[in-house]
Amino acid sequence: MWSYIFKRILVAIPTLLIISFMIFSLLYITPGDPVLLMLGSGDTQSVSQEQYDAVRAELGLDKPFFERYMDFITGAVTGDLGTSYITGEDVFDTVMMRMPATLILTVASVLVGLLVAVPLGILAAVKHNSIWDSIATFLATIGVSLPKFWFGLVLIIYLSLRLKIFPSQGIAYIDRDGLGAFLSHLFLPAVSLGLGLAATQTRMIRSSMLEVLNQDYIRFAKSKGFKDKIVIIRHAFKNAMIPVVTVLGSEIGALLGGAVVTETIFSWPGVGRLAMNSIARRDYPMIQGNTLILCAIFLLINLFVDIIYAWLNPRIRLN
Amino acid sequence: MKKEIINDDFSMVPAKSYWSDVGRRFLKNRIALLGALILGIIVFMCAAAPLFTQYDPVKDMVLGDMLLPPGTPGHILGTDDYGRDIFSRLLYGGRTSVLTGLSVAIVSAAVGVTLGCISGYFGGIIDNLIMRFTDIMMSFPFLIIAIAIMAALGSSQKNIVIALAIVSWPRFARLTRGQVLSIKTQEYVESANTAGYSDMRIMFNHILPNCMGPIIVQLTLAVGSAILSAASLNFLGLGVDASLPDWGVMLNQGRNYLQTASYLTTIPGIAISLTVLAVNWIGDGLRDAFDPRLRV
Repeated sequence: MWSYIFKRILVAIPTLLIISFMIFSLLYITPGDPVLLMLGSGDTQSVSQEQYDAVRAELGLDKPFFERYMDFITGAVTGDLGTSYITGEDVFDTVMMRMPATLILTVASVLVGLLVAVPLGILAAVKHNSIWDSIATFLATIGVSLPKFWFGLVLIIYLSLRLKIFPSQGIAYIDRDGLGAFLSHLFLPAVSLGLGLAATQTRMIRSSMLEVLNQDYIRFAKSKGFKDKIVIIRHAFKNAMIPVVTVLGSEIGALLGGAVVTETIFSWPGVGRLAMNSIARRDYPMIQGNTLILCAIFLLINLFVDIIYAWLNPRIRLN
Repeated sequence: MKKEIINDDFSMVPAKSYWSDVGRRFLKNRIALLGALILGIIVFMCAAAPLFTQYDPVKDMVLGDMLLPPGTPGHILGTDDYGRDIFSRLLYGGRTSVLTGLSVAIVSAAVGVTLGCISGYFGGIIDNLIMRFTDIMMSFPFLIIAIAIMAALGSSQKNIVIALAIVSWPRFARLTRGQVLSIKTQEYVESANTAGYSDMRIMFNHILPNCMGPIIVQLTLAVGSAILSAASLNFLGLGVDASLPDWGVMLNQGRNYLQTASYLTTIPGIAISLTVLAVNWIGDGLRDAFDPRLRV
């Protein structure tokens, strides 16, 4: 098991290096002069040459491309991703301060997604080809086809603005505002972000359950006289979850991306909104650091999912 | 010469070709046909927009007629905050959205299928390199990368297509490689090899046509997801010029009027959902139609 974990970590390192190189080069080719941005000036006229050169050297922009990339990477390893062009704040600290809000939202939407998908997927598989199956499949296709952010906006229109059941903006903290306020602020963003996951996982669990239910060991368990419920929960569900867990890893990537849009709609103070604000202000070190940290976290989640998967399924880790 | 197959009772019947068989099964699928019908109507109305509306989606601003609700005489779906006809913006906006979706799917399929084909056919170190790169590209949250690309390239419709194609080709590469690997070992490919045909000819004339089924399904589904992703980028204000009609841009405009004019948000969202739903139904129908296990 340990050698498997070690191998997976070894694979993750070059992946992270390549993505960091891509993110770095991407912003390198971006039009616009960072020095002028840093000085808060749109043209070269109002800035003296000495001032310009000083800032340029301070940002390390006078060095060649590769050296700058190496600086960026060695900095990133020690948690130094530079400072914001606009506010002068440390990029790593700013992103990390915002990260808990995004992670809370992501975890909540995974929970919402699974709470919908698990019962619906099992129901569809157990009552295969019945009206329940059709309804579940139909709902899942609709869920995949709706723009998630639009679904969030519709929730705001009807549940917040018209019926005033949930707040439409912002976050609440358990220690400051209490559990009730925390959950009511979390509910709409989590539902809107979790919709896509609910839809894809319903399909996934349905087909995975259908496959497992046709296996000999399920028929054997049934023939031994176990009740259907026990067979489904104890025997089928556990095995059917194996492929579901693998997809969950990459689904969380989609959630992190979706979080950018969801956070913008609900004014959720996470890294997604930070990313959008940085783009609007052309704060490139912030965009760069933000993207890199999100990718690293996503890799970490996938690593974690892979390890759980290997633990569930010995065939994988022994291969 | 007409192809024939021999029945159990030794009578000869014309052989059904693979494609006519697929077509027959697709036409039997009622949901897929409904999807095709809906998509057909949407595409026709958008393409022939001037037949259905006399308003220009950008220029016809009437300042006295701002934010008229749907059902107002002359403006069936109402007007937006600049007094522009929403129905007209919806039709012209559909052109942008559907074209973007199609372009992204086609470009990423072209890149992905080519790389996947090369990877699967040649194997060895080429395969290893291409597939490692594909894995890496697939192991990142794609919308985040697309947003970073848009931030770097700047906002335009062309850049949306580039950004989304960069993040969506790997699926095609992986899928095509899998298909090519399974077909490569078939006897007819070996005989083509023995006959001395060039690699290119074998790849494109002998192997690729036989992996088209899953690729077409993936292409269809990719159109739907590209329409959704482009809408997200446009909604975030990273996409096309805000004055241009586009469903994502319309949603972005509607955001400021959730309380007073929520139809600015609901209408374009329904248009996107309906289009993507239709595309997904067609994709699911094609998947079933191509499934060899269902072939009789």
